[in-house]
Amino acid sequence: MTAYSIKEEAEMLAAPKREKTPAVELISIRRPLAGGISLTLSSLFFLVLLALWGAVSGSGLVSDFFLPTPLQVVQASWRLLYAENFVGDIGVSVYRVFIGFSIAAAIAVPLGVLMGSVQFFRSLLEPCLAFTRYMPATAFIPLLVLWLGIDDTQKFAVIFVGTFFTLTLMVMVSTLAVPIALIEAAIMLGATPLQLVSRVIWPAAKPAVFSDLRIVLGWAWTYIVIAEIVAASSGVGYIILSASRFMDTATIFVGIISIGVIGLISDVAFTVAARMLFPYLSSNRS
Amino acid sequence: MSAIIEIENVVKTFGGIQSVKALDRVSLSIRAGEFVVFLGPSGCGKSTLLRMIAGLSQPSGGTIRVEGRLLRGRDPAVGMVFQSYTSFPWLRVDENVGFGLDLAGGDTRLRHEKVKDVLDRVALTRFAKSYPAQLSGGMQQRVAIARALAVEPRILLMDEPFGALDALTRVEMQTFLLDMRSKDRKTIVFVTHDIDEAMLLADRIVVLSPNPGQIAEIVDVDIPHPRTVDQTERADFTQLRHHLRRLLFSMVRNAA
Ligand SMILES: Nc1ncnc2c1ncn2[C@@H]1O[C@H](COP(=O)(O)OP(=O)(O)O)[C@@H](O)[C@H]1O
Ligand SMILES: [Mg+2]
Repeated sequence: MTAYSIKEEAEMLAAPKREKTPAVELISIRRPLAGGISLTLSSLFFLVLLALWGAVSGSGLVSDFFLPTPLQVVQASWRLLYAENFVGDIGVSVYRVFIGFSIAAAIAVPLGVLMGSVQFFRSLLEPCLAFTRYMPATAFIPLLVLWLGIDDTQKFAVIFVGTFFTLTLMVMVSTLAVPIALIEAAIMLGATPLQLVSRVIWPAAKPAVFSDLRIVLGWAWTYIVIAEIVAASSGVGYIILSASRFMDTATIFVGIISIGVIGLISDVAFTVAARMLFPYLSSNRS
Repeated sequence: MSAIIEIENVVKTFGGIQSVKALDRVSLSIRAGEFVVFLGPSGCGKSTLLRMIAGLSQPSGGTIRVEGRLLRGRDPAVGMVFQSYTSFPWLRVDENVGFGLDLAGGDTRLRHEKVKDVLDRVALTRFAKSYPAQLSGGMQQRVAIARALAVEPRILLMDEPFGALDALTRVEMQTFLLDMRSKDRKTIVFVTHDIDEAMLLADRIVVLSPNPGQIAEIVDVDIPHPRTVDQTERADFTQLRHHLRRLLFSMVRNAA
């Protein structure tokens, strides 16, 4: 920061009249952009994509059987929202993801912290978890249908299998990243092993664990859609499946886009929550 | 005065495929109230020795006693300040300083008063509600010192605590430490590789030499207190500086 301002001052003294071209300014390496510019850029890119889509689908080059126009998708979402209780289906999917993911997180987070804190548990469990993690969750779906039927329990189970193992390992890694110096400082202040975990390791790892949760929650959406496509009578995945039976591409688009929107909302929610939970991270001096 | 720390024939080897003998038969006795500085080139085992006194690591051979007790892990009489910034980033300055007191529990009001008192001593009262990341390096090390002092250790270990600070802040912190010590005669064991820092602070300088780490020489610094940075220009200081410099440079040359 200071290095920059000194350099800038030197440049200004050397060539007081020369203006920097904004284009060069915009793509400087690791330099923050002014407030509104970031948002403008993100929105602009969305609009470009939308325009591209509109141009391609409207040009007649591609049949709307394969690629519906934006207008058709808007009409389809209108119909879904007002005539077919799409909100209910979204609610069902959100509910399934929420419960399945909460169960996975409720076990994975403490387990990961334990594994990242005590070598005994890491040696005991890590190889097994790493092995299980590589078994694709989707391959378990037929088995889970066989064991649990096709009601919500099976959906929770699919999400659990899809997220639990990796989440545990990610939390373990985040816990291992807590600097040993912080732990030793606490030991020198008289912390017991239990206090080390509850008062140092956990608070120090929390922001990273929070970000692990955010990432893995995104995957949960992939699994719920697969689970609902395979066996369900409600939910966004089910809507996508039944639309494909009628070759209703526009509705499939609505299903896919709505999941993107939900993902975006949950991401923003996580970011806002993180800012409130960890105020010390945004108050850095440098 | 009686010995508060007794180090007897301490050996430390680090295992692995190529085992390293970091310290070989080190014996030293430190008196209560003394300010001892471990001085030596990088890698001569200063931190290793200090960490063993802290109880953070066990000797491979020999014994360490603190106040007569055979050391097995951290002793409540011993506090430590590290080189790296170890303030807890999620706690405000006053919560950091009170951390050790909170662990022990006890009367909340007494704890608050204690924290206020210590913050005052390190001149951080104004920053009590700041987060460590908002403070300069020198202030962060003052938080670390205050945090260690709050639990009232009789021995304070410091491992190059000012090593990461710029030259000016460093002198400011040295002055602060001298001042603090003139008011409260704790036993301090301080690690540095900076000759001037060692001379300014120490009652006794223990010079360590590497490969394996051993005590090369013990130098008494008979310069009266209160000391100031200006005194380092005095003749006796200059003489001592030459002596120590020759000693350290000969070690570095032998190693090369
Ligand atoms: N945890 C460790 N594992 C292996 N070797 C170590 C470890 N800690 C220190 N050493 C070795 O012991 C020697 C002394 O290190 P250290 O005490 O850190 O030196 P100093 O603090 O004087 O710079 C060095 O050769 C270093 O590589
Ligand atoms: Mg060291």
